[in-house]
Amino acid sequence: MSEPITNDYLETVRKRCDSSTKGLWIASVEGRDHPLGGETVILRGVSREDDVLRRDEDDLYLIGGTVADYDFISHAKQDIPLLLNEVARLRKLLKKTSD
Amino acid sequence: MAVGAVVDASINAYTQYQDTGHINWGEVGEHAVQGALIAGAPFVALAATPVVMSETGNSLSLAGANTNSTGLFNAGQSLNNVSSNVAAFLNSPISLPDSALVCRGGTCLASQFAGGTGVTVEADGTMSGVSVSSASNKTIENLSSPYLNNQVGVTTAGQIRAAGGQITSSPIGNPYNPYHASIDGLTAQQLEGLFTPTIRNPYITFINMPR
Repeated sequence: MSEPITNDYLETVRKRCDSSTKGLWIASVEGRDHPLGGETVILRGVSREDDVLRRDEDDLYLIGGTVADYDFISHAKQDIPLLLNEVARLRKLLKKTSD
Repeated sequence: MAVGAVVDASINAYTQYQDTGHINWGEVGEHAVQGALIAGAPFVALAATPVVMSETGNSLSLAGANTNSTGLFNAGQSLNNVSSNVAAFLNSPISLPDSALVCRGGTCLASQFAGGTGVTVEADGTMSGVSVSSASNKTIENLSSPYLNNQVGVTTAGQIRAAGGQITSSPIGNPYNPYHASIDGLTAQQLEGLFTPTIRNPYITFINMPR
């Protein structure tokens, strides 16, 4: 069984995530999410108002990145805080149970 | 009935493209319905005489239709001819004038061209199937409108040909990019040279959701 991740390390991960460009990140893949003729890109600072997509930050491109890489990186921006919150919730639950 | 719908919708799509440089698919759908409704009767007028598709200027014409014909027996065959001829015509390359602007969304760096969807790279480094937007008499705003990228590269069909490449308009089959065209025969470095420096995508402040 591996050693538990320390709270310090988890805090470092959270700070790293919080320091990245703000807002929602979405991968938009050529021919899948937008029409052929536009490079695959990660849109950052995305917000949706009614049925309109708004962008507040510049695009992010990967050199040599696969579609899976684009999807992974863009989702990580949203997934990491979710996972950290889940770890915190479970640790709190564990502590309460063990008390 | 279905043949009539295909013919009418196809002609409408082609005529729209030639006239305006883009295709309103809602209008095409309306023509498909109209074509289906009329196919059962007046289209027999096309029977008994060979139907030849030809491009005359900016319009598509059906030559050889005998409006006096009542050859019901041959009607189905003639409609099939019309349908296949229209399909073949629509699939044939549409030429772009040298002055036509050509846009690609993104950084347009050499490193990005090879990763484009549908792109193949030959042994000599030249590429085939590089997707772009291009159409006659269309502005950068028009041509960049299908893209989500903040920046776009712009060149002309003439500059692509001058560099030794070919550009083929192919909007049919690309309903989400009515200006779709493909570039063949240029290397990634040549393409970067043609499309950079890029400019801000003039269409990007507020855009509709892609899906």
